[in-house]
Amino acid sequence: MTIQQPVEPVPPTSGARVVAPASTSSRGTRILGFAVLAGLVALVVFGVFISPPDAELGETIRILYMHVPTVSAAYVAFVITAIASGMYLWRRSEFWDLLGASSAELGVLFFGLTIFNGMMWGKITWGVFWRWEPRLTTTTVLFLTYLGYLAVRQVPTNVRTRATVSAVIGILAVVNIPITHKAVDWWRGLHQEKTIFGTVDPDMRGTQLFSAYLGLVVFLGLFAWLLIHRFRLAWLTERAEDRGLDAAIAERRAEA
Amino acid sequence: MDVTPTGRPDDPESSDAAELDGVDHDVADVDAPTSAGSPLELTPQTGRHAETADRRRSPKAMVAVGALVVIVVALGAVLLTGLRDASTFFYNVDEADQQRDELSGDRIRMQGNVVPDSVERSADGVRFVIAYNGVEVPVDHVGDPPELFGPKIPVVLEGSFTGDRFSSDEILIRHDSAYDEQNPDRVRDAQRDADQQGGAG
Repeated sequence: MTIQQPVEPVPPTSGARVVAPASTSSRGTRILGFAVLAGLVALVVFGVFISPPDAELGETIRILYMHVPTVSAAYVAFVITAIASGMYLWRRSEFWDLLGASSAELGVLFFGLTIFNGMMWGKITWGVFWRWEPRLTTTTVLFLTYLGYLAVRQVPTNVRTRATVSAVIGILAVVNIPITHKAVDWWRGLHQEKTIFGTVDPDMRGTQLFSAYLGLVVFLGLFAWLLIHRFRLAWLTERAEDRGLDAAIAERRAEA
Repeated sequence: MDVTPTGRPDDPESSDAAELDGVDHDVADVDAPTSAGSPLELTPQTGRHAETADRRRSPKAMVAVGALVVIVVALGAVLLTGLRDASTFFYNVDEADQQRDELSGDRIRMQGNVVPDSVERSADGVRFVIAYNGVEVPVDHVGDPPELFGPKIPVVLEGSFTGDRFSSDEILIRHDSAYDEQNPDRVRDAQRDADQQGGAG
């Protein structure tokens, strides 16, 4: 008879102190963290102070130095979730399940930020916060799908069922990203065409263009930093639950 | 006599009696395999799978399932109504003009460029001419136009045809992805359109 052991050995006194490695940071993440922090400062300096206002948009163009980066980070996050979901269905390992879940959480965060700063931009530029035009409609569908993914993960069931169901959703949901991305080309709407992805806008130049790319790099770095920490936290949470369970078993055995 | 310390084993208030009782109940409550106290009892604990039945009734489960239902309903509503509207978000001025009879009275969106020098203040808003693909339609707008409103940027009007004119109550600025450092001699398609319409009219 084989007894499944947790990855880390459980010390005899584990009942009192459940999580032993109490940090999700490492030398690598600290360096990345400080680099991202410096990048954010540089982005504020270039995006808010150095780059000139736009001829038509004026100062509101500065919102785009954040809007495009946050949506790019969200798309990258959702693609990572899809890849991790596929890997989970293939390898059936906890690693891929937790990576997919962590990435989806951050994707929802960055996508929510994108919708928010986009609405601010819309109010100033279009004159309204929201219209059910193609890009915003497909964006809503995408956002709701990933909220659904996160909700599914909160429904209590056993861990393997949860991982399998969410992996299937994680793969299906990603199909909407190209639709959302191309919505501005396929249908008429209020939202402008692609700004950076695919086509580097020929009209953006100088420090405007630099700020746009700096924002992209900084926010992708921020996403990477957050993802590493979120994944490690998810991993430690699982280990803590394992230990808590082991401790409970040990206690009951001692009682008897 | 009848009162001796060892002669009250049936008193439930007695500390040692209660303890004994407690132990008895505990042993009785524990699952059969564990009650033996054998070191080999490992069968009933199969990880978090075993807790499923308990957690299914928890408030957290209700919230999660409730949230899921709300999300699915919202998704259905957006897909059904949103995408249908989105596919015809606006008519261009020439298209709307062509279908004027069918659209008459309907609330629609119409896209085009504001003809330069056609903008004038009215009592409750602005009047101007909007043009696209060589077709021009006069517009009565109620309310203040947005800040970016002007002949250089295409607009989407929300309203309906009333007679020869288009009555609008919302002007949306349709900014294309043209960015520029403040540079007056930049020429974009939309702007060139607008200038041509302006020259023609």
